[in-house]
Amino acid sequence: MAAGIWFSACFVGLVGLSFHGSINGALERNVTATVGGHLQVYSGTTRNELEIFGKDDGTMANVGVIENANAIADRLRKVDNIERVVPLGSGTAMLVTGNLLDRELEKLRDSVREQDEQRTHVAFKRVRGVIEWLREEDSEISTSPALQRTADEEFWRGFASSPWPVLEFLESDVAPLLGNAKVVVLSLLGAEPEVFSKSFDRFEIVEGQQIPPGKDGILLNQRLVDEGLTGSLTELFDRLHKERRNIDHFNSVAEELRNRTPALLRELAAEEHASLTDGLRVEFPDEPGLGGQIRRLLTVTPESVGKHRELYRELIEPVLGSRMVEIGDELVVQGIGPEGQLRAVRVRVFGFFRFKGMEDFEFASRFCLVNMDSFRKWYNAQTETDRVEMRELADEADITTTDRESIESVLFANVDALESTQEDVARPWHDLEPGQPKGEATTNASQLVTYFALLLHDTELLEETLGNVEAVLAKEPLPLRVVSWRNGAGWIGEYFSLVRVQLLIAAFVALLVMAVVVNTTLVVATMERYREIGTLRSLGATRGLVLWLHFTETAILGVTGGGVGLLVGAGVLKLVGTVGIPAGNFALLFIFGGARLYPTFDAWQMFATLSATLCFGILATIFPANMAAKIEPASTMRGEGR
Amino acid sequence: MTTLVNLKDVKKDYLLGRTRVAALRGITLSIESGEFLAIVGPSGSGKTTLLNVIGCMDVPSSGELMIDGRAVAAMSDRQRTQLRLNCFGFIFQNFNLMPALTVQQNVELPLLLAGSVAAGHRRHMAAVWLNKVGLVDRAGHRPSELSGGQQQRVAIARALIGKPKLVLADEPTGNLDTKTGKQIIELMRTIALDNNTTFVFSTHDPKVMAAATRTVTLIDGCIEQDAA
Repeated sequence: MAAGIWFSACFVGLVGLSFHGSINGALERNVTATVGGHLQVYSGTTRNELEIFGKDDGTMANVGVIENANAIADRLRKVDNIERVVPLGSGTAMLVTGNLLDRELEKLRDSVREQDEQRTHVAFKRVRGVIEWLREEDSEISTSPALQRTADEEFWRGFASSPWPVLEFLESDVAPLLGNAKVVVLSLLGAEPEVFSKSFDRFEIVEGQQIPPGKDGILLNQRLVDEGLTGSLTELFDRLHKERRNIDHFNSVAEELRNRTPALLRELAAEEHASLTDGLRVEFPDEPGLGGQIRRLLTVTPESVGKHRELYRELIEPVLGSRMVEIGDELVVQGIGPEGQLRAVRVRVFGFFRFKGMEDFEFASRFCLVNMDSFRKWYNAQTETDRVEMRELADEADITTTDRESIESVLFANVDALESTQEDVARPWHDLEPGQPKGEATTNASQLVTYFALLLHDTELLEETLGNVEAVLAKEPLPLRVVSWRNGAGWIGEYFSLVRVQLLIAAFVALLVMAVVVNTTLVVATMERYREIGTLRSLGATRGLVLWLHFTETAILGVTGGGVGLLVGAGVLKLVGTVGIPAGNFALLFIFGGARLYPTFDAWQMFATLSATLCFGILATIFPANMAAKIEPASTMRGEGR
Repeated sequence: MTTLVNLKDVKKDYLLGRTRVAALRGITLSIESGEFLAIVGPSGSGKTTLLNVIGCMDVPSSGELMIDGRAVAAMSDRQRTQLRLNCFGFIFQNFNLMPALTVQQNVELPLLLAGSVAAGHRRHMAAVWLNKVGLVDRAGHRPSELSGGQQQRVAIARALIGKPKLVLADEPTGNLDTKTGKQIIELMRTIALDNNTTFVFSTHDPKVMAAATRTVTLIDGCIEQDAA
């Protein structure tokens, strides 16, 4: 039985250590192979802590900026064990997408520009259909003068001969009446695209291409596009399919879907009606017309939503498109600075990406990547290119710059002196960070970053390398701080620490239970061997020998039973490590770092398991061994003491 | 003949719960080498206690005990253990063989505990003594495969393999039938004579008493009679 206890202890111990190590590795890779690296360096004067995946409210922490990034990066690269220094920018941004009419007008503009008559014809019909629907809707905008102008057939006839003024009027006067379709909040990352993709191996472009050097572009997160930037009907169908078990919520969204019937009908061009009717008749044979079929399609129950969704995807989406954003589109990425200043930069969509294994994590799917120049522009920082442009513009417009002290004399050179009083107004700087642009361009913005991600050659030396970086920062001195990925990961790092502590507690409790069982087993064994021990003592065995016998017995049982347990545990882990353990829920998905955990183990873990169980076993032997050593030989005469 | 054991006014008390029990009430006794001494008396008279005290398995509450000229009272537990190993052999009523060891290994045990005997010599000596007790063909058997008499013979071989000066036997025939008991006593007697080994054994069997050269009778922890 004692051998069985050691077998179990070592088996469970090795499996537990393996899981701990594998989970540790998985979580570490979630952070270090996506946006964090092993160490992060950021401003040392900020009040906030870096949370590379964002705070628990979804926004990015404002940790100020680091200027002179190139010089600092050069210094950091010289620290031992640093493989790579990746300058990064991060911030909370917004994508404001165009509404339905904006998108249709953009397609029309593209087809006109490309002189594609057929596409122009279809797009034109679609635009007219949407606008007619808007006029017929009983809402505030239906009576607006701009919209009423479109009721005049003469207006539309002008398109054939001169499309651009018509397009311009529709884009600037009519489309804004619908407002913005969607505002998507995202975590904006700025980096040199090639450096980023080489540094973080979880990063993978799934559609499109990398942002070319020298271009201002954005790579959107695939999940963000699929879920946050889908066409409204696609999104509604997806929501209904997910929420089909929540009846109350389902019914309210289903009604919203049903009410889109007129809009969808307007969106579909007449040329598309015939093929759609044929396709929909298969499902709705009792509906002769497209109108009825569309109404039936958009009328769903929890049981039918899956089927209708598939039908919509098969027949309607290829016509209208499922996404609100496509590769090649230009987007305006906006944001609000800490002083309330508007941030904005226009970028082209070059592709969609994902972080492999983290597709299901919402916090990871918020990230979108822009080139560093675009990030700096978004941050209201002026690059060298911008400064040159501004100088040229200033020269053309004959603009002179002057300083604060000279402004009065320059402006009022020919005017009598004016008296003025100035009242100082205390301005709360709120969340303003040192080094932060105060609504103006920074002077060294060409090298502005938010933080550096440091990747190491040898991750075992993480703590030592962190100390070395701290020493370098202190020696210069540089107003920066360095943290390990666990601290830089914010709430994720804290969650991970909690998981680790729980695993360690579980391991300790398991060892304690093992020790108690060993102790109890040996106490019982000592009582059963009372007479034998007494006889040994009477024959001349010392107390020390009795103790030695007990500890040796424990060691032999531990090594043999435990050794077998380790071998069996290794075999099981080898097998499980090939197949993987599926993550059955979101919590496990996060802990496993993906859909499956593939546990691994090494010789150190086997040694540590055996050592720990032997230590606890030896400790558990102390009491029964002492008990045996105290048996008096006299008590064994005539079977006494049994 | 030399005096092997000398007891002077030895007393031994035990605490049974809250009650103090006087098992030995002032024993004065000398045991010479070569004696085949029986300690007799009714149950509870102190026979086993006296054997334990003589065998250094228990310490007297008072009085003087000398073993082979050495005072035992001043000895540590380790010294008394060493004395048991070097000077005494023990035979128990219940045989007290190690069930997990073979007959051969049981007999070798005292030499193994001594630590200074080579394995080959141990095996040889065990074979010699097993031959003397007539069980050399059972050397590889476990005690559970032997009869009571055979087990007691193994115990006798074990007690004597270390050439002790004194063998203490507590009711050596107590768990044996009359015939077997007689055989065991005969064997002990023969060995005592052949090897000049002193035997001290307790019994309340008259037939066993009759084999002794000297009988010490204990009543209520006192020597009632000491007859040769």
